[in-house]
Amino acid sequence: MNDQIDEQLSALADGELEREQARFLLRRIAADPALPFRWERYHVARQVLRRQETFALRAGFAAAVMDQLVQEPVLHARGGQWLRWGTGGAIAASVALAALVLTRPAQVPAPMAARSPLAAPTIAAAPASATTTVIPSAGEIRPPLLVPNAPLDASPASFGAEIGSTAVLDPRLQSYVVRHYQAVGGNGQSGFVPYVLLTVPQRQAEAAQAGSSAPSQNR
Amino acid sequence: MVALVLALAGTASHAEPSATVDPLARMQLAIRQLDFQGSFVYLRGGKVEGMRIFHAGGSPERERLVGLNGARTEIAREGGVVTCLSGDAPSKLFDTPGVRLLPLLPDLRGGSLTRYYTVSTGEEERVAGYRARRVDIVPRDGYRYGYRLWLEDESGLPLRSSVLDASRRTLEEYMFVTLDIGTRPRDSDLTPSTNASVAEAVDETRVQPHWQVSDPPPGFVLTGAHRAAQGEEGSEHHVYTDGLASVSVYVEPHAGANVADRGFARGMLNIFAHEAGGWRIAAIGDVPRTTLERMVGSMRLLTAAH
Repeated sequence: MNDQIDEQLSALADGELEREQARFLLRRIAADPALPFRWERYHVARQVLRRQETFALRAGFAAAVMDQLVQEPVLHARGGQWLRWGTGGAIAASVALAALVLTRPAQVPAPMAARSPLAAPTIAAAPASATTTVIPSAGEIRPPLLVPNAPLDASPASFGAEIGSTAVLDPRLQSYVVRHYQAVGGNGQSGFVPYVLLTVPQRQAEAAQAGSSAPSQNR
Repeated sequence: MVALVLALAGTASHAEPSATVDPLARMQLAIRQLDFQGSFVYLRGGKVEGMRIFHAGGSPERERLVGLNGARTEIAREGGVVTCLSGDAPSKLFDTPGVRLLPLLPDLRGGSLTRYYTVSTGEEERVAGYRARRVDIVPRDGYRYGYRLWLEDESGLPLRSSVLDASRRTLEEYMFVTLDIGTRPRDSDLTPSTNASVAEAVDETRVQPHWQVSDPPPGFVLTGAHRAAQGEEGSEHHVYTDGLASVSVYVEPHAGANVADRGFARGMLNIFAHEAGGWRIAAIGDVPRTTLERMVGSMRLLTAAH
């Protein structure tokens, strides 16, 4: 039974449910407090998969969609793919109307630096010295605190203080880390745990940056 | 026919006894299919975190990981859609098929495990109240890390896992302290605690690589070259793997003065960045720094037309 509901919710989020089926499902959603959350997950998943801006659905959206459906004229054309798409489109538009109230903008990547002249690389040995912003130990700051130029076998595990000085990872390297864990997906041994630990809430990151008064060669 | 026999012989020479490989296959099934919930400690780079995990096997597989210390951290997954919450920031969504939330577990889909690692079983021990069999995955060289796993006797669920460096020192480790196997978590325990989310905008497309790591450590092969949707022209992101460990190498045009090489380490994660000749090359991965240095140092441009 749950599988059937899940399929219907998925079809509803995709705008592929027949009108009467949609009305029946929306009644169920209105009556069952757990179903709106499941529908929202499908709705969000669909947007993520299509790389669309993601909206949060407000409480009572099912009732709002029902109202839209009731007010829209019922098409009595013969069934078929055109009707399915037409109906689905109307439902999708109703959902969007209900959702726009709480629109959140998607994150926009920071603008990239100006393109540099292309040149053949010359990989030359450079001195291995720490060139990162060194900051004092900060209470709530979490993982972009990495050990600069740690020896090969550093980071012995122990309960207690960090080993060596700490540094705030510059945004470019942070984005590299995020992209790395996204790219390797399930093949990354530590998976999403490090990603979340590496994600520093904005206020904490700003506090860390403000606290690092030493001259920075970080890029 | 001769080739077939030789191929089979070659395969056999790398094969481990089924008694040692089977527990790992069983572990892979257990972490995907079983219902379980519990708390574990996660040790990383000298810091310890407390975490609680809820997992519901089946299709779609659902799980949720909640940080128990410090700023609020939470990760929920339904199939390949992952929601991450950290502090007060809006939650972020990722579309990452094949991901799992229990950390520090070797992914065996690469298939070349026994070529670059040896696998052996050890003593039976007691972890989180369960009897567990220890399994060691030891690298055959210094370019990758090893694992020590404690797998629950009946289910194969990993109760504890350590990542070890060449000196057998623990870099990262998790260990369950309480665990309930076989009880399906409540729906509310699997649902993210926020409704407001933004999709993570990082987006990459596959490209034909113009760069190549000419001298990768043994076993590391290129699995894909990408470019960020908003990336500078000429930038590339390569992913290399030996079937177990993965490394990303980034190449980007770079204007201005070069800074000295930079290296960072935390737990098993290492980063090494180098700037020269108008390019910035950085490598990131859960591997020793020497692996990254070798890859960055042998990065070469393949074509002048680029």
